[in-house]
Amino acid sequence: MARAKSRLRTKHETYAAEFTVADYDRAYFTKDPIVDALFTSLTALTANVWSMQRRMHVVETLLEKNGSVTREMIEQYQPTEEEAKQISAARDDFVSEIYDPFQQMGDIAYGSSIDVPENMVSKNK
Amino acid sequence: MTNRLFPTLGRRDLFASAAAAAASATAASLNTAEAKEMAKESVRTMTVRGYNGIYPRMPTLKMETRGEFYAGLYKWRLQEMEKAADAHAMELLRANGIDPMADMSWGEAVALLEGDPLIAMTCRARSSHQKLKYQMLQNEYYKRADEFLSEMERADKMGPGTLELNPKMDIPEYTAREIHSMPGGYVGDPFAGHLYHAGTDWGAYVEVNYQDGAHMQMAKAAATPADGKVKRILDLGTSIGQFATSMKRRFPDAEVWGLDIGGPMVRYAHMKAADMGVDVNFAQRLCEKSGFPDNHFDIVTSNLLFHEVNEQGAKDIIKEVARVLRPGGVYSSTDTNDTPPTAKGKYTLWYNYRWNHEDWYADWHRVDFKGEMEKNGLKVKRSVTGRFDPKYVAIKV
Repeated sequence: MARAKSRLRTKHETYAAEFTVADYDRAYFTKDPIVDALFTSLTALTANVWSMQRRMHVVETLLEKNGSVTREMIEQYQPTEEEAKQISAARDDFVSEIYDPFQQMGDIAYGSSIDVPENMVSKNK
Repeated sequence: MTNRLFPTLGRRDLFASAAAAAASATAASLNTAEAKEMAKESVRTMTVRGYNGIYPRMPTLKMETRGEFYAGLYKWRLQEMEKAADAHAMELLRANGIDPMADMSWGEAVALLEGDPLIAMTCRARSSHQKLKYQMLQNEYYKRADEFLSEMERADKMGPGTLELNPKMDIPEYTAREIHSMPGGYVGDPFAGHLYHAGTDWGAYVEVNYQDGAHMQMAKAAATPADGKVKRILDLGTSIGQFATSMKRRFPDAEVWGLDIGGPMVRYAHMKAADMGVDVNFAQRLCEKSGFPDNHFDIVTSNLLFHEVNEQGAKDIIKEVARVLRPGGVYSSTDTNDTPPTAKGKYTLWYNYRWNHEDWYADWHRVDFKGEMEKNGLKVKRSVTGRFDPKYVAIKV
């Protein structure tokens, strides 16, 4: 098994030791590794979109309140408890909208095998 | 402000809770000057975004919001996708004339379920979540590594509580794995503690351990010696110290130690405890060679340790527990829930072992913990399977 050290280069003592490298990046679970890669890419993209939405929400809130905004104000903004609840609910809706289709894959076998009329010929009218 | 479970919070707890409450109540962004003043007061110099309860907020809005997303994705997979896959697996097996509850090996379960699109996708969702979450955290901490490492260097020297680091110690290979796909594992990444804390909050502990709530419940449930004497407590495999600090809060007069093989883990544990003003001693040591005298501790605990330890390590640790525990002392061991004995449950165990790199899952399922404890003079009083209850409670006879 391959051994490695942290890729971080620094003058500081890190107290990090050599470790055995795992092979999780070689895993694929669907029948096509490209599908696995696409799911990972979709998830990276979705994480970015959520972060952008959240940042935009902070900017809008600050602009409404103050009329102007700085990067520091955006970073420092702390939602109220009520806002935090709303964010959490919006996040759950966002995740469901994008990922729910993946849990409906159990219907594939059903959908592909039913209701095909035999000897059907389309006729031009 | 007092804590519902543990009313005796330290000075910094009060400070952090009050700051969080104030920030919440004013419904406004945290004043930058106030935040910087708070950071000066705090052990955490990188905490310029204020606190949420007992913990600092993530260092940047990007990290915080990515975390929100990854937590949401984990929750969705657990509550929606896994349930759909469980039901689907049942249908699939029944359709093929197989009893889904039939006793079978991991290999048989894998042969039956591997390749099914829905079940494959649950694995993909888990693996992608782990990879992207840890990759993002590692990249962000590495970008400003000097600042975060300087923060830890400063905290190393602060109290309350001591920190012992042993960079020259021999680290057994079995402990140096990238367990649950965390890059570098517990010993190999300078920010292992940072990665573990955020990674588990957005993963396995999602919505159950915010503010260490699960650890506090476990500490509250931990058994005590019949004579009531609790002067010294040892937490083995302490990780980032969440259980050790929770035990200290329950037993404020006891001397509490937390041991872990990961140097970056105990550094983070110490920084976190010092920041909260909780007096716990952390040491980078091997659990099976704790270095403490015989009959030294009244309570020994371990949480989520044994599923990350190989068979020999587990046997050696139990022997060490029996050695350092005083007669009448109590050992409480908690670990992850047993997965349901269905074919899908077994498939999930295999996935965890093989692709989530819980490399010692098979060993963990092989070890006869009750037998090993009894062989070493520990009398097992309780053996239950509740998520936050001790799985084994044993008394040294």
